[in-house]
Parts: sequence; structure tokens; C-alpha cells
Amino acid sequence: MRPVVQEAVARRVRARAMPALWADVLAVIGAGIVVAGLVFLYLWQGAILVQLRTERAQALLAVEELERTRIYLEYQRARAYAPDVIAARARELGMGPFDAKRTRYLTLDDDQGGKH
Amino acid sequence: MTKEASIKRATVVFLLLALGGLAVVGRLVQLQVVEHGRWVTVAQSVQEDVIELPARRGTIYDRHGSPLACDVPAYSIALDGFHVTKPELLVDLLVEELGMARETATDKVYRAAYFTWLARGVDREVGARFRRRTVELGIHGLMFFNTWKRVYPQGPLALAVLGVVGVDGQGLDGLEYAYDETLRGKPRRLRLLRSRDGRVYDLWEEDPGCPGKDLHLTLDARIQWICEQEVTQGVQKYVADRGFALVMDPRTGAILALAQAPRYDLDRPDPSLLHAWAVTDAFEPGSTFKSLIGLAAVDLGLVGPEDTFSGDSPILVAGVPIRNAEGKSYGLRTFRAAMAQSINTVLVQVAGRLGIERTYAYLSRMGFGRPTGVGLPGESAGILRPPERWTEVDLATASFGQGVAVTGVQLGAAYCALANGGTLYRPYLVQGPPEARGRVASAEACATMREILGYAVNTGTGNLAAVPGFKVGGKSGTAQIALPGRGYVPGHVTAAMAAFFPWDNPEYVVMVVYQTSRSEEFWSGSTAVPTVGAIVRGMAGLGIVRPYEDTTALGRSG
Repeated sequence: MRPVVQEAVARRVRARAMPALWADVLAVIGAGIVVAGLVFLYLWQGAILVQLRTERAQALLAVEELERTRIYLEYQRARAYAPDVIAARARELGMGPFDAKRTRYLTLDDDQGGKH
Repeated sequence: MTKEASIKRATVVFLLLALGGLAVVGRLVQLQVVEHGRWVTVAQSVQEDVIELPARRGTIYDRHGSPLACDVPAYSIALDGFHVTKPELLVDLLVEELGMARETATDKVYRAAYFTWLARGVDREVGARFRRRTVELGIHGLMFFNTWKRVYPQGPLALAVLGVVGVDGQGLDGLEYAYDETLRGKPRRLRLLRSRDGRVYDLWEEDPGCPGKDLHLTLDARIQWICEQEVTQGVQKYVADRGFALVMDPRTGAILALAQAPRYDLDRPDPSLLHAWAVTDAFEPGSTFKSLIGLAAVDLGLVGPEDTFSGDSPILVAGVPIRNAEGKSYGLRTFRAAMAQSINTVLVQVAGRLGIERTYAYLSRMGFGRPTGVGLPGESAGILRPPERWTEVDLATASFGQGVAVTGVQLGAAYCALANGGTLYRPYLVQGPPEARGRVASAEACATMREILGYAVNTGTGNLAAVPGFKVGGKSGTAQIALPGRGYVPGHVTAAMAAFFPWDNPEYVVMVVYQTSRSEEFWSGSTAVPTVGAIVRGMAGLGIVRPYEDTTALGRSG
């Protein structure tokens, strides 16, 4: 076969082969994109999970701290109503402690002979 | 390049790559399979942190749900001595914020140790402020631990009963010690996953632990407070060494208040004040015992309120003269009057009618000579010798409460039996069903004795305990204290008053006891008796009780 003919045949063969090659490349790229997408999704959901776990952990620690705060406030409330605290506050307000000398027992007679 | 050369070169490259790959795979196998355990440990040590959160100790409540002792959040602060920075600032901060002495702070901060406790049980607010300031000042090397601190919301109330806890949260005395297992709980263990900056990004519970269980007491914080006030004032006023006040519900045996003075001070801890001596120490009850001897005699029909006896002093028992207080003679007296005037010689005759066996049987049935099971550590059994070791003189002296030793709760429980119609209950501090221990006397005999004791308070030696409208009945008693190896020593006296009200259907038993080693003139009538009155008035003042008689109105004028 003459060279000119050979080149023409080869060009024709290449021309036919190009679409097949492009198809393969596209297939590989497509597969790559799918794999990359899956990998991305996997990593992304992993990151989301880590973030959620972090938030959960922070929330649990915050709940723990709030519970400790509640207990502390409950103690302060109970302390504020303790008899010794109330007595001290009463003294500050000028109220004296119970004094038997300042107590009078009044016996009142009624007109039916009863006493109250 | 020939085809063979290309193939050879490709083979070499492939083999090199394969070897490289094999090396990588081999290394991976080594790291992930062969040395898996080791590297997991290393990773955990870098990223993971296991923390143990101490369990919150159970709260101790009074009968109305007021907390008497509870745990609140606190900090424990430790120092890593090899990583501490700016130690001089840290010393200043310890002095300033935690009130630590400069020498102590310096010693702790400059100690060459990896781990040093700087302070434990630091108040939450103080600890948080301290932590914030260390961050502001750039001080490193401190460790802050979340922990708990035992606090007393009602103030230092009933500490001799409650006891205290140590720095590690273990009960050291009182109910804290007796119920340590219940109160303690189990620590919670968490595993944390930390980033490099220390931020927690995951957490899971390795052991949920459990908080300590709460304890609900029979104590009434208000009555307890009144008793502590009155008995503290009494100890100061009457120059006593110590005193206690006990209030019980005679219908159940529940202890409503158990106060003592001197009180345990949290700021100046004295372990010797940390036991309720109404439970742990026995004393001779003196004339308060006469009611119980009288109850036995009335129960057996050996004595009636109007039976007359000679009140002359002395009376000879097996040749030994037994005297009244101050050697006074009273002539003929009814049993009722003898109780009101607390005449020893009459009770000696009453005990003579009872005899040793029956007296012992009654006293034993009333719970003397054995622990009551009140639930506090170190309870004393008192002293009640077996009848075969009693002589006639022992019987005579026992009739007015000498030669026998009782504890406050034993005496309180016996008076509860007298007050409730004859049923002996186990005295108790932790809420639960009442526990009857049997009957000690008939309801009629108890009613008779209560009426006699009501008369004793209103006309006799106990009249300073009388509070109009509250129908207080009871018996006072003054007894000398026998010291080991010295016998009865002048100036060492126990003064007591055991009372109940209203005497016809008692709802409360009140007992006050003082002891002195310094006063020759120390009589129950001027010490324990008025304190009982003050306690009843205090209970009325706080609205805990209302007058039982509608013929009297409680008024107040300036």
C-alpha cells in the first residue's frame, strides 16, 4: 500500500477511535466523580457526626454545670431561711429575742363564768 | 531502546514499587495489627481523658424536708510543680483569694513535687474567681477538680447528731458515720475525647455511678434550734460544764430534737464535742428516776397517790442512814406530795414495797441497762447491775436515781412510755415505722403517775417548767457525780428535768440535763427546770404548739 493510502487509513482509524477513547475518559472521570462524591459524603457526614458529638458533649457538660448551679442555688435558698439567719436578720431589724419577762398571760373572765 | 530492555526496566520499576508497597503494607500491619494495643494506648493517652466525678453525698433532711446537711459543688485545686509558671503571682493569689497564710502558700507553691493539693473543698464562687484570675494572670500548671463540699444550710444545727465528713467525703461521726454506706453513693466515670487545645469533642459514660441516698430524720429543725439556743444559754448562765436537751414524740419514740452545749464549731473543730453525749455517756439520773420507781409501784397497786408515808430524814436501810436532800424532814406526806417535794425517804419506802426483783424487772423492761438502738455510734448501755448483785441499800439509793446510770435517750424513752400509756418505743432519728419494744406498765398506772407529775410541776420542785396553758408535767432531779476512784465529789453535780406536755395526753417529752464540776449550789430546780419551761415557751413562740387549755390566753406586752 502506498504511504498516502496508509496515512489516510490511519487517519480514518484514529477518527473512529477518538470517540471511543473520549467515552472511556469520560467514564473514568465519571466514576472518579462518583467515588469522590461518595468519599466526600462519607467525610462530610463524618465531620457532621463529629460536630454533633462535640455539641452533644458540650451540652452534656453544660447540663452538668447547670445542675451544679441549681444545687448551689438551692443551698443558698435553704440557708437564707435557716433559723439562725432569720434570727440574725430580726436582730438587725431591732427585734429582741424571746424574753419571758416581757410576756404577760391575760386571763379574761366572761359573763358566763368562763375564762379565756 | 529494544523491547527487551524496556520490559526489563519496567520489571525493575514494578519490583521497586511492589517492594515499596510491601514495606508500607508491612509497616501498616506492624502498626495496626502487631502493635495495635500499644498505639491505641498512646492515642488514648493523647486524646482521651477519663474523669471520675465524685458522687454527690445524700442530703440529710429534717422531718419537714428542710436540709440539715447537703453537698454543694466546690473545687479542689492542685498544682503541677514542674509546670507551674509565675509562682510569685500564684502565692499572692492564694493569700488574696483563698485566705491562705503566706508561709503555707509559699511552701506549697515552691514544693518540688509533681502533684500538690493547694486547697480542697473551695467554695464554688471563690474557686471560679480564682480560676478566672489565674487565666488572666497567665499562671499555668494548676489543676481544677470539680468536687463536693458538705455544708449545713441550717447553720451548725444538730452537728453532734449529724456528725461531719472528711475531706474525701467519708462520714466521720454521728449519722454521717452510721449511715455512710447509704449516703455515700458511687462515683460517675466519664471518658472524654479531647482535641489538642483541650476542647471536648466527644464524651461517653463508662460508669453511670449513682448519687448517695438521702436520709430523712425525725428531727424538727425549729425545735432543735430552740433547744440549742436554750441549752447553750443555760450552760453559760448556770456555769455548767455541759448540757443537753432532748425532745421526743412519746407516741412513736421519734426524737424531735437532740441538742447539746457546748456546740461543735465548724470553724474550731473539737472532736470531743462531736458525739451526742445523751447517747454515749451514762449518768446517775437522780430524782427523775423517782417517777419510774413510782410508776412500777402504782402499776402493781402497791402505792396510791393519797397513800401516806413518813418523810422524816434519815431513814435506816440495813443499818445505813439514807437522807433527804439537805437532810430535811417532812413529816407525814402523801405519795403525791412526796413526788412533788422529791422526798428521798418516801421513795425508799416505796422501793422497799417493790423489792429488788420487781424493781429490777421494771427497770429492765423500761430499757435500762442496754442500748436503745437509737442508731448513733458509741451508744452506752448505762449501768443496771443484775439483781443478784443488789443489796437493800442499792435498792434504796436506786429509788432516787443513785447507783444506777442511764443515758439521756434511755431516760427519754422510759418517760415516753410513761407518757403514752405504757408502751416502750425504740427511740429513733431516721424516719421509719415506730418500733414498740413492749409494755412497761398499764395505761391506768401511767395516767395516775402523769397526774401526779403534773401536780409536781405546778406545785412542787418543777414549777419553773410550768407554762400556763401547756399543762407541763414532769420530775426534776439533782444527783451527785461519782468520779473514778474518788466517789461522790462535792461540786460535781448532774441536774435534770424530765417533762411532758400536756400531762393528760402528752404529745411531747422534753428532757434537759446539765452537768457541772464547779458549783456547790447547782440544783435542777434553778437550772434544768427553767430551761424546760423556756423550751416549751420557745415552741409556743414559733407556733409549733398551741395552748392546750382554753382558759388561758397567751399575750405579750412591752
